Amino acid sequence: MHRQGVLFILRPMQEDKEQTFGYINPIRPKRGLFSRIIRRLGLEEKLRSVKRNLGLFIAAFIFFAALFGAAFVVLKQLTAESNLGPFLSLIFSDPQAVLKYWDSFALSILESIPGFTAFVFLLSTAFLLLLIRSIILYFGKLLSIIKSIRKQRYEHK
Amino acid sequence: MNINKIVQSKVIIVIIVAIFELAFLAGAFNLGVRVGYHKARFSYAWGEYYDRNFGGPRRGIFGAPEGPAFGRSAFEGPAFMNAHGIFGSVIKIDGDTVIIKGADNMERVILISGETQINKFKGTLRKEDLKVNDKIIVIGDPNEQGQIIAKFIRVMP
Repeated sequence: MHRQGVLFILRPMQEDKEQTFGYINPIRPKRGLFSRIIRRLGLEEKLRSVKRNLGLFIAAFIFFAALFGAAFVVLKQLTAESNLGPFLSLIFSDPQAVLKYWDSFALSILESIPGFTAFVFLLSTAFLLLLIRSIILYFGKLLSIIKSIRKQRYEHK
Repeated sequence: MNINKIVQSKVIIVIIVAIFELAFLAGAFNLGVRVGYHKARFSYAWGEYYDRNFGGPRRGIFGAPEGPAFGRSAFEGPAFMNAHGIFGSVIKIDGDTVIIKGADNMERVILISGETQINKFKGTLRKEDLKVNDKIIVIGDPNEQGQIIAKFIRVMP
């Protein structure tokens, strides 16, 4: 046989595996690493979701705060222009007349209420309170998740 | 099925609350329609009888712009006048008729009858005691001529 003409020789890897990779120290993963990774992935997913919701709540809060401010200014102006204040003062100055003419008094009060502005004001107030509650809850959740992530990061050291 | 469990279930409570809310909404809607009807009817009569009540066309001799009574507010929609009460300054007294200028700068005709109760401080007044520039609160009922038949008048100090 002419060995000079052979460029390389194919040999099954199995035969000298230990010789080839012998210099690499085998890494043994710590116990519970997989569950930690999965837990961390879950926490990151939760963190992303909470951050997204918190952003939405803050944007809605800014919108409703602006609406609340505008409705408050308009309501104050319309209430000053309407006869609501003087009519209500009759309850204290002339309670007997109020009771005697209760139907006309009630209608005059109802006619003086700036209904639509009061509706917008009450609605924006309700939404503001709801959003403040949600922001506080979600901020608490965010802090709790960040704390869990930090705890997990340092607990194996 | 146990009737106690059904009665105590959250679904039943939600249904009851929903029915209460619907009843409240229906009541509020009905009240709004009633108040709107009175205001619209009074504003219509006020406009129809303006010439007779105030002695001149509502738009003035040279066609002055419309007043707020039939104008449109950005927040409140069509601005109709209160039909059952007014707070304003007396600008003219003519027998049983008193003309008042309200906070909206619109004049209203108030009719004083023998049954009208007029109070100032803790005492009562006669209709002759009313003076021009007195600030008064009137509670009453509208008539078909766009006037308010006064039941009670409080003269402000």
